[in-house]
Amino acid sequence: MRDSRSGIADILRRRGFIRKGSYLLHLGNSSEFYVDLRALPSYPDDFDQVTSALAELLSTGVGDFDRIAGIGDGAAPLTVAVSLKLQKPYVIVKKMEADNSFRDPLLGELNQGERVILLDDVASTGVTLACAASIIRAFGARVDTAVVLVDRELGASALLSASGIRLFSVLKLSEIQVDGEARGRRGPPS
Amino acid sequence: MYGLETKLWAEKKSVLGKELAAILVRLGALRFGNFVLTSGRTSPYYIDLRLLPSYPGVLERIADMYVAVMENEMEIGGLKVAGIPTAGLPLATAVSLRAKLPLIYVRETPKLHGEMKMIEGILSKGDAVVLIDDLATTGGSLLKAAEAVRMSGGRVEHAVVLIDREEGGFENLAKAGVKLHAVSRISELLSWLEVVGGIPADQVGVIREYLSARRSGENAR
Repeated sequence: MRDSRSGIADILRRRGFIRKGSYLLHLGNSSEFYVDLRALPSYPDDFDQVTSALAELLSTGVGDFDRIAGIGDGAAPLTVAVSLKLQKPYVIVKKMEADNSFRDPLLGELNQGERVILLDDVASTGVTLACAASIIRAFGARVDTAVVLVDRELGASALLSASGIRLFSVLKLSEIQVDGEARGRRGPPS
Repeated sequence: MYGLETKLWAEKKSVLGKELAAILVRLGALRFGNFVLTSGRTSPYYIDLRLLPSYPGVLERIADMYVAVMENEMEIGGLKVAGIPTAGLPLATAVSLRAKLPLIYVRETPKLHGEMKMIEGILSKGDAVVLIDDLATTGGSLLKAAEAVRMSGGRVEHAVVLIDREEGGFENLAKAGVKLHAVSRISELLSWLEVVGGIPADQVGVIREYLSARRSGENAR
Protein backbone atom coordinates (compact mmCIF):
# COMPACT_ATOMS: atom_id res chain seq x y z
CA MET A 1 0.00 0.00 0.00
CA ARG A 2 2.86 2.39 0.81
CA ASP A 3 4.35 2.06 -2.69
CA SER A 4 0.99 2.41 -4.40
CA ARG A 5 0.25 5.53 -2.33
CA SER A 6 3.46 7.28 -3.25
CA GLY A 7 2.85 6.30 -6.88
CA ILE A 8 -0.58 7.89 -6.71
CA ALA A 9 0.76 11.04 -5.06
CA ASP A 10 3.23 11.22 -7.93
CA ILE A 11 0.45 10.92 -10.52
CA LEU A 12 -1.55 13.71 -8.88
CA ARG A 13 1.44 16.05 -8.85
CA ARG A 14 2.67 15.13 -12.32
CA ARG A 15 -0.72 15.59 -13.96
CA GLY A 16 -1.26 18.95 -12.30
CA PHE A 17 -4.39 17.84 -10.44
CA ILE A 18 -3.21 19.62 -7.33
CA ARG A 19 -2.50 23.24 -7.99
CA LYS A 20 -1.30 26.02 -5.83
CA GLY A 21 -3.30 29.22 -5.62
CA SER A 22 -6.30 30.72 -3.95
CA TYR A 23 -9.60 29.61 -5.38
CA LEU A 24 -13.18 30.24 -4.46
CA LEU A 25 -14.50 26.86 -3.45
CA HIS A 26 -17.98 25.44 -3.30
CA LEU A 27 -18.88 26.96 0.03
CA GLY A 28 -17.02 30.19 -0.35
CA ASN A 29 -13.96 29.39 1.74
CA SER A 30 -10.67 29.80 -0.03
CA SER A 31 -7.86 27.38 0.13
CA GLU A 32 -4.22 27.48 -0.81
CA PHE A 33 -4.44 24.27 -2.82
CA TYR A 34 -6.93 23.44 -5.50
CA VAL A 35 -7.58 19.75 -6.02
CA ASP A 36 -9.38 18.76 -9.22
CA LEU A 37 -9.29 15.10 -10.12
CA ARG A 38 -11.90 15.14 -12.85
CA ALA A 39 -9.38 14.79 -15.66
CA LEU A 40 -7.99 11.58 -14.16
CA PRO A 41 -10.11 9.22 -16.34
CA SER A 42 -8.55 10.89 -19.40
CA TYR A 43 -5.35 8.99 -18.54
CA PRO A 44 -6.36 5.29 -18.68
CA ASP A 45 -3.20 3.88 -17.05
CA ASP A 46 -3.18 6.41 -14.20
CA PHE A 47 -6.91 5.96 -13.75
CA ASP A 48 -6.41 2.20 -13.46
CA GLN A 49 -3.68 2.63 -10.84
CA VAL A 50 -5.75 5.03 -8.74
CA THR A 51 -8.96 2.98 -8.91
CA SER A 52 -6.98 -0.16 -8.01
CA ALA A 53 -5.86 1.56 -4.80
CA LEU A 54 -9.43 2.59 -4.01
CA ALA A 55 -10.63 -0.96 -4.72
CA GLU A 56 -7.95 -2.34 -2.41
CA LEU A 57 -8.97 0.02 0.40
CA LEU A 58 -12.62 -0.97 -0.06
CA SER A 59 -11.92 -4.69 -0.17
CA THR A 60 -9.60 -4.80 2.84
CA GLY A 61 -10.28 -1.82 5.10
CA VAL A 62 -14.00 -1.21 5.53
CA GLY A 63 -15.64 -4.58 6.24
CA ASP A 64 -18.40 -6.28 4.27
CA PHE A 65 -20.71 -4.04 2.30
CA ASP A 66 -23.45 -4.30 -0.31
CA ARG A 67 -23.06 -1.27 -2.54
CA ILE A 68 -20.82 1.66 -3.45
CA ALA A 69 -22.47 5.10 -3.61
CA GLY A 70 -20.64 7.68 -5.73
CA ILE A 71 -21.38 11.38 -5.26
CA GLY A 72 -22.42 13.20 -8.42
CA ASP A 73 -20.99 13.11 -11.94
CA GLY A 74 -17.53 13.91 -10.58
CA ALA A 75 -17.32 10.60 -8.74
CA ALA A 76 -19.20 8.53 -11.34
CA PRO A 77 -16.11 7.35 -13.26
CA LEU A 78 -14.30 6.33 -10.04
CA THR A 79 -17.42 4.59 -8.78
CA VAL A 80 -18.00 2.59 -11.95
CA ALA A 81 -14.34 1.59 -12.18
CA VAL A 82 -14.27 0.37 -8.56
CA SER A 83 -17.65 -1.35 -8.97
CA LEU A 84 -16.33 -3.30 -11.98
CA LYS A 85 -13.06 -4.19 -10.25
CA LEU A 86 -14.84 -5.54 -7.16
CA GLN A 87 -17.98 -6.71 -9.02
CA LYS A 88 -20.06 -4.81 -6.46
CA PRO A 89 -23.28 -2.89 -7.23
CA TYR A 90 -23.15 0.89 -7.26
CA VAL A 91 -25.51 3.86 -7.19
CA ILE A 92 -24.85 7.51 -8.03
CA VAL A 93 -26.31 10.06 -5.62
CA LYS A 94 -26.88 13.16 -7.71
CA LYS A 95 -25.71 16.52 -6.47
CA MET A 96 -28.33 19.12 -5.72
CA GLU A 97 -27.11 21.38 -8.54
CA ALA A 98 -28.19 18.87 -11.18
CA ASP A 99 -31.47 19.87 -12.82
CA ASN A 100 -33.23 16.63 -12.11
CA SER A 101 -31.97 16.02 -8.60
CA PHE A 102 -35.29 17.01 -7.09
CA ARG A 103 -37.20 14.56 -9.24
CA ASP A 104 -35.00 11.59 -8.51
CA PRO A 105 -31.83 11.91 -6.43
CA LEU A 106 -30.50 8.49 -7.47
CA LEU A 107 -29.09 6.95 -10.62
CA GLY A 108 -29.56 3.31 -9.77
CA GLU A 109 -31.33 1.78 -6.78
CA LEU A 110 -30.92 1.41 -3.03
CA ASN A 111 -32.39 -1.44 -1.02
CA GLN A 112 -33.74 -1.28 2.50
CA GLY A 113 -31.12 -2.23 5.11
CA GLU A 114 -28.15 -2.69 2.79
CA ARG A 115 -24.77 -1.34 3.87
CA VAL A 116 -23.54 1.36 1.50
CA ILE A 117 -20.04 2.85 1.31
CA LEU A 118 -19.84 6.48 0.20
CA LEU A 119 -17.21 7.20 -2.45
CA ASP A 120 -15.93 10.55 -3.69
CA ASP A 121 -12.77 11.90 -5.24
CA VAL A 122 -12.07 14.61 -2.66
CA ALA A 123 -13.31 15.41 0.86
CA SER A 124 -13.12 19.05 1.95
CA THR A 125 -15.55 20.16 4.66
CA GLY A 126 -17.55 16.95 4.40
CA VAL A 127 -20.86 18.74 3.77
CA THR A 128 -21.39 17.08 0.38
CA LEU A 129 -20.70 13.62 1.81
CA ALA A 130 -22.96 14.26 4.82
CA CYS A 131 -25.81 15.39 2.53
CA ALA A 132 -25.42 12.27 0.40
CA ALA A 133 -25.45 10.13 3.54
CA SER A 134 -28.77 11.60 4.65
CA ILE A 135 -30.29 10.95 1.22
CA ILE A 136 -29.09 7.34 1.37
CA ARG A 137 -30.46 6.91 4.89
CA ALA A 138 -33.79 8.38 3.78
CA PHE A 139 -34.00 5.42 1.37
CA GLY A 140 -33.53 3.02 4.28
CA ALA A 141 -29.93 2.00 3.56
CA ARG A 142 -27.12 2.10 6.15
CA VAL A 143 -24.03 4.34 5.89
CA ASP A 144 -21.18 4.33 8.39
CA THR A 145 -18.16 4.69 6.09
CA ALA A 146 -16.95 7.12 3.45
CA VAL A 147 -13.92 6.60 1.24
CA VAL A 148 -12.18 9.34 -0.75
CA LEU A 149 -9.05 9.50 -2.81
CA VAL A 150 -7.79 12.75 -1.26
CA ASP A 151 -8.77 14.20 2.12
CA ARG A 152 -8.04 17.92 2.03
CA GLU A 153 -8.24 17.95 5.85
CA LEU A 154 -10.68 20.84 6.08
CA GLY A 155 -12.90 19.30 8.71
CA ALA A 156 -14.62 16.46 6.85
CA SER A 157 -13.45 13.83 9.29
CA ALA A 158 -14.98 15.60 12.30
CA LEU A 159 -18.22 16.57 10.57
CA LEU A 160 -18.79 13.05 9.26
CA SER A 161 -17.91 11.57 12.61
CA ALA A 162 -20.77 13.60 14.12
CA SER A 163 -23.06 11.87 11.59
CA GLY A 164 -21.75 8.47 12.60
CA ILE A 165 -19.53 8.11 9.54
CA ARG A 166 -15.88 7.18 9.50
CA LEU A 167 -13.79 8.76 6.76
CA PHE A 168 -11.02 6.81 5.01
CA SER A 169 -8.72 8.27 2.38
CA VAL A 170 -6.04 6.87 0.11
CA LEU A 171 -4.07 10.08 0.66
CA LYS A 172 -4.27 13.16 2.85
CA LEU A 173 -3.35 16.44 1.17
CA SER A 174 -0.54 16.96 3.71
CA GLU A 175 0.99 13.64 2.63
CA ILE A 176 1.13 14.75 -1.00
CA GLN A 177 2.90 17.99 -0.20
CA VAL A 178 6.59 17.23 -0.11
CA ASP A 179 7.69 20.83 -0.43
CA GLY A 180 6.37 24.09 -1.84
CA GLU A 181 7.47 23.32 -5.35
CA ALA A 182 6.29 19.76 -5.43
CA ARG A 183 2.79 20.75 -4.43
CA GLY A 184 2.21 22.96 -7.45
CA ARG A 185 2.21 22.19 -11.11
CA ARG A 186 5.63 21.18 -12.35
CA GLY A 187 4.90 21.51 -16.02
CA PRO A 188 2.25 20.83 -18.61
CA PRO A 189 0.62 17.39 -18.31
CA SER A 190 2.31 15.00 -20.71
CA MET B 1 -13.63 -9.10 -48.85
CA TYR B 2 -15.29 -5.87 -47.81
CA GLY B 3 -18.71 -7.28 -48.54
CA LEU B 4 -18.10 -10.41 -46.51
CA GLU B 5 -16.85 -8.58 -43.43
CA THR B 6 -19.77 -6.20 -43.55
CA LYS B 7 -22.22 -9.09 -43.78
CA LEU B 8 -20.53 -10.96 -40.95
CA TRP B 9 -20.75 -7.91 -38.70
CA ALA B 10 -24.42 -7.45 -39.59
CA GLU B 11 -25.06 -11.02 -38.41
CA LYS B 12 -23.01 -10.59 -35.23
CA LYS B 13 -24.81 -7.34 -34.49
CA SER B 14 -28.18 -8.97 -34.95
CA VAL B 15 -27.18 -11.56 -32.33
CA LEU B 16 -25.97 -8.78 -29.99
CA GLY B 17 -29.37 -7.11 -30.35
CA LYS B 18 -31.11 -10.34 -29.34
CA GLU B 19 -28.79 -10.81 -26.38
CA LEU B 20 -29.53 -7.22 -25.36
CA ALA B 21 -33.28 -7.85 -25.63
CA ALA B 22 -32.94 -10.88 -23.36
CA ILE B 23 -30.89 -8.84 -20.84
CA LEU B 24 -33.51 -6.08 -20.78
CA VAL B 25 -36.31 -8.58 -20.16
CA ARG B 26 -34.29 -10.25 -17.41
CA LEU B 27 -33.62 -6.91 -15.68
CA GLY B 28 -37.26 -5.89 -16.05
CA ALA B 29 -35.95 -2.88 -17.97
CA LEU B 30 -38.49 -3.13 -20.77
CA ARG B 31 -42.07 -2.36 -19.83
CA PHE B 32 -45.11 -2.45 -22.05
CA GLY B 33 -48.27 -0.39 -21.78
CA ASN B 34 -49.14 3.17 -22.61
CA PHE B 35 -46.49 5.68 -21.56
CA VAL B 36 -46.47 9.43 -21.96
CA LEU B 37 -42.96 10.65 -22.73
CA THR B 38 -41.51 13.98 -21.56
CA SER B 39 -42.07 15.24 -25.12
CA GLY B 40 -45.81 14.62 -24.69
CA ARG B 41 -45.87 11.77 -27.23
CA THR B 42 -47.14 8.37 -26.20
CA SER B 43 -45.14 5.20 -26.44
CA PRO B 44 -46.23 1.54 -26.14
CA TYR B 45 -43.00 0.65 -24.35
CA TYR B 46 -40.69 2.15 -21.77
CA ILE B 47 -37.00 1.43 -21.18
CA ASP B 48 -35.80 1.78 -17.59
CA LEU B 49 -32.13 1.02 -17.03
CA ARG B 50 -32.09 1.95 -13.33
CA LEU B 51 -31.26 -1.60 -12.27
CA LEU B 52 -28.14 -1.72 -14.45
CA PRO B 53 -25.80 -0.33 -11.72
CA SER B 54 -26.81 -3.25 -9.51
CA TYR B 55 -25.35 -5.81 -11.94
CA PRO B 56 -21.67 -5.09 -12.67
CA GLY B 57 -21.34 -8.21 -14.87
CA VAL B 58 -24.21 -7.05 -17.06
CA LEU B 59 -22.79 -3.52 -17.24
CA GLU B 60 -19.49 -4.99 -18.40
CA ARG B 61 -21.23 -7.10 -21.06
CA ILE B 62 -23.15 -4.08 -22.30
CA ALA B 63 -19.94 -2.02 -22.43
CA ASP B 64 -18.44 -4.75 -24.62
CA MET B 65 -21.40 -4.38 -26.98
CA TYR B 66 -20.64 -0.67 -27.37
CA VAL B 67 -16.97 -1.49 -27.99
CA ALA B 68 -17.91 -4.05 -30.66
CA VAL B 69 -19.99 -1.40 -32.44
CA MET B 70 -17.09 1.05 -32.25
CA GLU B 71 -14.55 -1.49 -33.54
CA ASN B 72 -16.72 -2.43 -36.50
CA GLU B 73 -18.33 0.85 -37.47
CA MET B 74 -15.64 3.50 -36.99
CA GLU B 75 -11.91 4.01 -36.66
CA ILE B 76 -11.45 3.35 -32.94
CA GLY B 77 -7.72 4.12 -32.63
CA GLY B 78 -7.04 7.51 -31.03
CA LEU B 79 -10.66 8.13 -30.07
CA LYS B 80 -11.70 9.79 -26.84
CA VAL B 81 -14.90 8.59 -25.21
CA ALA B 82 -17.34 11.31 -24.10
CA GLY B 83 -20.03 10.52 -21.54
CA ILE B 84 -23.29 12.41 -21.37
CA PRO B 85 -24.58 12.78 -17.80
CA THR B 86 -26.37 11.49 -16.03
CA ALA B 87 -27.12 8.04 -17.42
CA GLY B 88 -24.52 8.08 -20.20
CA LEU B 89 -21.53 8.78 -17.97
CA PRO B 90 -21.33 5.41 -16.17
CA LEU B 91 -21.75 3.64 -19.51
CA ALA B 92 -19.05 5.79 -21.11
CA THR B 93 -16.77 5.01 -18.16
CA ALA B 94 -17.29 1.27 -18.62
CA VAL B 95 -16.67 1.64 -22.37
CA SER B 96 -13.47 3.61 -21.80
CA LEU B 97 -12.22 0.96 -19.35
CA ARG B 98 -12.99 -1.96 -21.68
CA ALA B 99 -11.50 -0.21 -24.74
CA LYS B 100 -8.64 1.44 -22.79
CA LEU B 101 -9.54 4.83 -24.28
CA PRO B 102 -9.42 8.21 -22.48
CA LEU B 103 -12.69 9.42 -20.96
CA ILE B 104 -14.06 12.94 -20.98
CA TYR B 105 -17.54 14.13 -20.09
CA VAL B 106 -19.91 16.91 -20.86
CA ARG B 107 -20.84 19.05 -17.88
CA GLU B 108 -24.48 18.89 -16.97
CA THR B 109 -24.65 22.39 -15.53
CA PRO B 110 -22.26 25.29 -16.03
CA LYS B 111 -19.75 25.36 -13.22
CA LEU B 112 -20.21 28.41 -11.03
CA HIS B 113 -17.04 28.06 -9.03
CA GLY B 114 -13.55 27.43 -10.30
CA GLU B 115 -12.94 27.68 -14.05
CA MET B 116 -15.80 27.91 -16.51
CA LYS B 117 -15.81 25.00 -18.91
CA MET B 118 -18.22 22.74 -20.71
CA ILE B 119 -16.07 19.62 -20.80
CA GLU B 120 -14.32 17.77 -17.98
CA GLY B 121 -11.16 15.90 -18.87
CA ILE B 122 -8.36 16.38 -21.35
CA LEU B 123 -9.54 17.54 -24.76
CA SER B 124 -7.11 19.05 -27.24
CA LYS B 125 -7.94 20.82 -30.47
CA GLY B 126 -8.61 18.29 -33.22
CA ASP B 127 -9.14 15.29 -30.92
CA ALA B 128 -11.61 12.74 -32.36
CA VAL B 129 -14.42 12.13 -29.86
CA VAL B 130 -17.17 9.52 -29.81
CA LEU B 131 -20.29 10.41 -27.82
CA ILE B 132 -21.79 7.73 -25.56
CA ASP B 133 -25.31 7.76 -24.17
CA ASP B 134 -27.80 5.12 -23.09
CA LEU B 135 -30.71 5.87 -25.43
CA ALA B 136 -31.38 8.10 -28.41
CA THR B 137 -34.88 9.48 -28.92
CA THR B 138 -34.91 12.72 -30.91
CA GLY B 139 -31.18 13.14 -30.40
CA GLY B 140 -31.49 16.43 -28.51
CA SER B 141 -29.02 15.74 -25.72
CA LEU B 142 -26.52 14.17 -28.14
CA LEU B 143 -26.73 17.27 -30.34
CA LYS B 144 -26.06 19.54 -27.37
CA ALA B 145 -23.12 17.38 -26.35
CA ALA B 146 -21.69 17.40 -29.90
CA GLU B 147 -21.91 21.17 -29.87
CA ALA B 148 -20.16 21.43 -26.49
CA VAL B 149 -17.32 19.14 -27.63
CA ARG B 150 -16.92 21.01 -30.92
CA MET B 151 -16.88 24.40 -29.17
CA SER B 152 -14.07 23.02 -27.01
CA GLY B 153 -12.05 22.06 -30.11
CA GLY B 154 -12.94 18.37 -30.47
CA ARG B 155 -14.14 16.61 -33.63
CA VAL B 156 -17.36 14.62 -33.37
CA GLU B 157 -18.40 12.27 -36.17
CA HIS B 158 -19.95 9.39 -34.24
CA ALA B 159 -22.35 8.77 -31.36
CA VAL B 160 -23.13 5.33 -29.94
CA VAL B 161 -26.18 4.38 -27.89
CA LEU B 162 -27.50 1.09 -26.60
CA ILE B 163 -30.92 1.54 -28.18
CA ASP B 164 -32.08 3.90 -30.91
CA ARG B 165 -35.72 4.58 -30.10
CA GLU B 166 -36.18 5.74 -33.71
CA GLU B 167 -37.93 9.02 -32.98
CA GLY B 168 -35.83 11.10 -35.38
CA GLY B 169 -32.48 11.01 -33.58
CA PHE B 170 -30.60 9.38 -36.46
CA GLU B 171 -31.84 11.99 -38.95
CA ASN B 172 -31.37 14.99 -36.64
CA LEU B 173 -27.81 13.98 -35.81
CA ALA B 174 -26.99 13.25 -39.47
CA LYS B 175 -27.93 16.87 -40.30
CA ALA B 176 -25.30 17.99 -37.78
CA GLY B 177 -22.68 15.66 -39.26
CA VAL B 178 -22.91 13.05 -36.50
CA LYS B 179 -23.60 9.41 -37.38
CA LEU B 180 -25.76 7.65 -34.81
CA HIS B 181 -24.80 4.02 -34.09
CA ALA B 182 -26.86 1.75 -31.87
CA VAL B 183 -26.32 -1.74 -30.51
CA SER B 184 -29.95 -2.25 -31.50
CA ARG B 185 -32.84 -0.30 -32.95
CA ILE B 186 -36.03 -0.54 -30.93
CA SER B 187 -38.01 -1.96 -33.89
CA GLU B 188 -35.49 -4.79 -34.36
CA LEU B 189 -35.47 -5.52 -30.66
CA LEU B 190 -39.26 -5.59 -30.32
CA SER B 191 -39.72 -7.59 -33.55
CA TRP B 192 -37.48 -10.34 -32.25
CA LEU B 193 -39.15 -10.35 -28.83
CA GLU B 194 -42.54 -10.62 -30.52
CA VAL B 195 -41.39 -13.62 -32.56
CA VAL B 196 -39.89 -15.48 -29.59
CA GLY B 197 -42.81 -14.73 -27.26
CA GLY B 198 -40.97 -12.20 -25.10
CA ILE B 199 -43.88 -9.77 -25.04
CA PRO B 200 -46.79 -10.34 -22.62
CA ALA B 201 -49.86 -11.69 -24.45
CA ASP B 202 -52.04 -8.70 -23.57
CA GLN B 203 -49.46 -6.30 -25.03
CA VAL B 204 -48.71 -8.08 -28.31
CA GLY B 205 -51.46 -6.19 -30.14
CA VAL B 206 -50.25 -2.71 -29.22
CA ILE B 207 -46.65 -3.61 -30.06
CA ARG B 208 -47.65 -5.11 -33.45
CA GLU B 209 -49.57 -1.96 -34.27
CA TYR B 210 -46.59 0.17 -33.28
CA LEU B 211 -44.20 -1.93 -35.38
CA SER B 212 -46.37 -1.93 -38.48
CA ALA B 213 -46.75 1.86 -38.25
CA ARG B 214 -42.95 2.02 -37.98
CA ARG B 215 -42.46 -0.18 -41.04
CA SER B 216 -44.85 1.79 -43.23
CA GLY B 217 -43.28 5.07 -42.10
CA GLU B 218 -39.76 3.83 -42.59
CA ASN B 219 -38.10 4.02 -45.97
CA ALA B 220 -35.07 6.23 -45.76
CA ARG B 221 -33.08 3.72 -43.74
